[in-house]
Amino acid sequence: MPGKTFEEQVRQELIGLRLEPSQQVWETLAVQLQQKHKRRRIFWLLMLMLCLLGASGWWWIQHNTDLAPGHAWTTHADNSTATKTTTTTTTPILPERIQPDTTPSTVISQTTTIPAHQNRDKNDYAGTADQLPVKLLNRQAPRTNASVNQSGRYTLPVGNHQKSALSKDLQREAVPENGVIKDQKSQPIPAQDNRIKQSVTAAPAFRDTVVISEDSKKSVVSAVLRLPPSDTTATEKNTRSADTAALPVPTHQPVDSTKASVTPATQSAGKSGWSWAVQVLGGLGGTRKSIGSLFAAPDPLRAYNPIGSGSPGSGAGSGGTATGAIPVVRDGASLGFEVAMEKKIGPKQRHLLGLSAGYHFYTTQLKVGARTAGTLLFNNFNVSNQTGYYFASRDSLNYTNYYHFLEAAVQYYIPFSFLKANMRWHTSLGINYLLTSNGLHYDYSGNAAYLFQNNSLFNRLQLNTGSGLDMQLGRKKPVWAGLQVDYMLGNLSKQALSDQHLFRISAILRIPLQKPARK
Amino acid sequence: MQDEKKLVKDCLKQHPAAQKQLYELFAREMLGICYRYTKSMHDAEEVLQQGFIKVFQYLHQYRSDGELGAWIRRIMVNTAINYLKRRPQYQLDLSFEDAHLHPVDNHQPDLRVQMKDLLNLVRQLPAGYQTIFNLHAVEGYSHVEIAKMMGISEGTSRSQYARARGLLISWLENHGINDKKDYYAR
Repeated sequence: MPGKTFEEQVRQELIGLRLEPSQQVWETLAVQLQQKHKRRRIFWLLMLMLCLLGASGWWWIQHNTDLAPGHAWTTHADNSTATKTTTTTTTPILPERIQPDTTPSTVISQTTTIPAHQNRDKNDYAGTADQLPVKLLNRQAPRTNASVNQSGRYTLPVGNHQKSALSKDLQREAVPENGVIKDQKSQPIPAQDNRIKQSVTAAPAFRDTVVISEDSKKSVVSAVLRLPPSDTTATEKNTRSADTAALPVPTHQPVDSTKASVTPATQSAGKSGWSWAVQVLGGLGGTRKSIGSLFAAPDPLRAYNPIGSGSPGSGAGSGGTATGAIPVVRDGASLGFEVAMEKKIGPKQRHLLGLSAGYHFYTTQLKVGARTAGTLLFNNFNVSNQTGYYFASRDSLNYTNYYHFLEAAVQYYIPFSFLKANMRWHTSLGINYLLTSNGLHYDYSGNAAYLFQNNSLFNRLQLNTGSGLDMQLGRKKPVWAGLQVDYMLGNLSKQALSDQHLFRISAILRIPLQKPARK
Repeated sequence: MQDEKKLVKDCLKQHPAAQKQLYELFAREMLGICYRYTKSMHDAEEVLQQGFIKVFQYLHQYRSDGELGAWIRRIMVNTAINYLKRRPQYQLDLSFEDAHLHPVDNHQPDLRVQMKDLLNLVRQLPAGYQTIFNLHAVEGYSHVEIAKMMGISEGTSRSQYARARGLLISWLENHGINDKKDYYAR
């Protein structure tokens, strides 16, 4: 090619080079494209599930009316006594949930008002006709059933174990005959209206107990009130309309975080003291050779090396030189869904014991070569792959190992406060069962290395340990968010010289479950 | 052009038949590119496969006013470079930073080379030389562009190219192309 530069000659010669690829290239490509499409669908499906879960959790919380921890309470009375009767207390640990009485009851619902006693003087409640404005009662004590007993007393029944304490409390704080209202320090305060005497009880066990008594009719409306902060306006309004009623109104005041840190766990606790929650975990998972290498890069030589030589080019079972590199391993996404319960333990009830059960999903990423249909006998294990295909050990295709586990675990929580935030450190020990997996194993057949599926080479039962730190988010409807590290103590693979310990570093969201109000 | 647009649209809808058609339309040409950058047909096919995965993954970014073949070619070249970067021997080739500009040998030999022979000679160059030679002499990238693509200095690109060029010419002149017998070894 005279007259042309060297570059021109080369370009002219090489630019038009065309070569026929083997059929296997397209087959592998098509499989990979399908996998990508499938993964995308799975991703969106998971996102949809997460959204649904979040929405249901939110709905559940919204329909729960339990009191958020740490609200301060202020009692209001009429203007003449306000300066003396106004007291502020930090929300105490609330008594056990009020249980319905056996007596026929008038259920307080969202829109129900307590009908006035037939003999009650309408003037007792100025400006409110003959109904006690108990809209606030309804919202404050949604689980309580009000009833009118034969003696004409409005009662809100409580559980058996509370009755004795409550009755003592009521007796001690009975309406004083001299027409004075006592604040929690028992200082006599003159009442404006002699006909209605009210007292706000603040006994150690029931500081929130409010007794509204009607002297002339000998009716007592007693309630264990739980006031959410949003009820402040309604409470004040209703309190004024009741003229002399002294009702607790929550105000946002600094919270004793030491006390508050343990209250959320007990807020929704049932009679047994267990409180329920759902937990969602999401993060990064993978395999490590030991707990000491959790934060190191994955080690494929330890995870996928049945030969133990460390070199893909030598020591292949039956001798000779093996072909096929040890696969590239990367960490993958991990998810978990759990139902959990917890209970205060210890002499001071400061620590918490938790139990949980749920489903967990780990993935790891592998690089594999072309997929080949057929079965193989491997040098170290006389088993062929179960799926009817195997992969060459190369790095042309992405492959995701999925591990589906069921887990039951026990947790130990230590609450503490840090920078005014309620936090908990926890540690856990659990047992996991591998439901199913598409995880690949690595072995040699002849002188070539392959990756194949065989679930009999997994240790299905795994012990795991974990630890994490949670922080409380929100006061009114508290949820817990934090970080958690889990590590499986057992070797996932039964293959000799392979160390595959699954681990996960995940963000955790704990949504307390609280029973909705009875209607 | 209209056919290409329709083909791209169908590929974006994940139609397997359209994907296969697109592959068959460009696979030969692209394998030729991949082959020039690699040392074996197997590696070339792996690059081709990875390249097409990227093509289908990023096809929505393709602007229909450009030439589809050129767009795919750029993807293949970049995939080949990334593939080679993961190879240890390739990294050794470019581990030094040669600040000195090597003067390009302007000697223009009167060669009548056959494509097959020239291709084999190029593929026998060290991987770094081979890549830079391909990028500059065949694809027509400037040294500035090559430096950016490969994460090296412009001087390194120039010097590597000069050495590659010198090696090729000396092989062609001194040993003769007929001594290179290994063709398209798979």
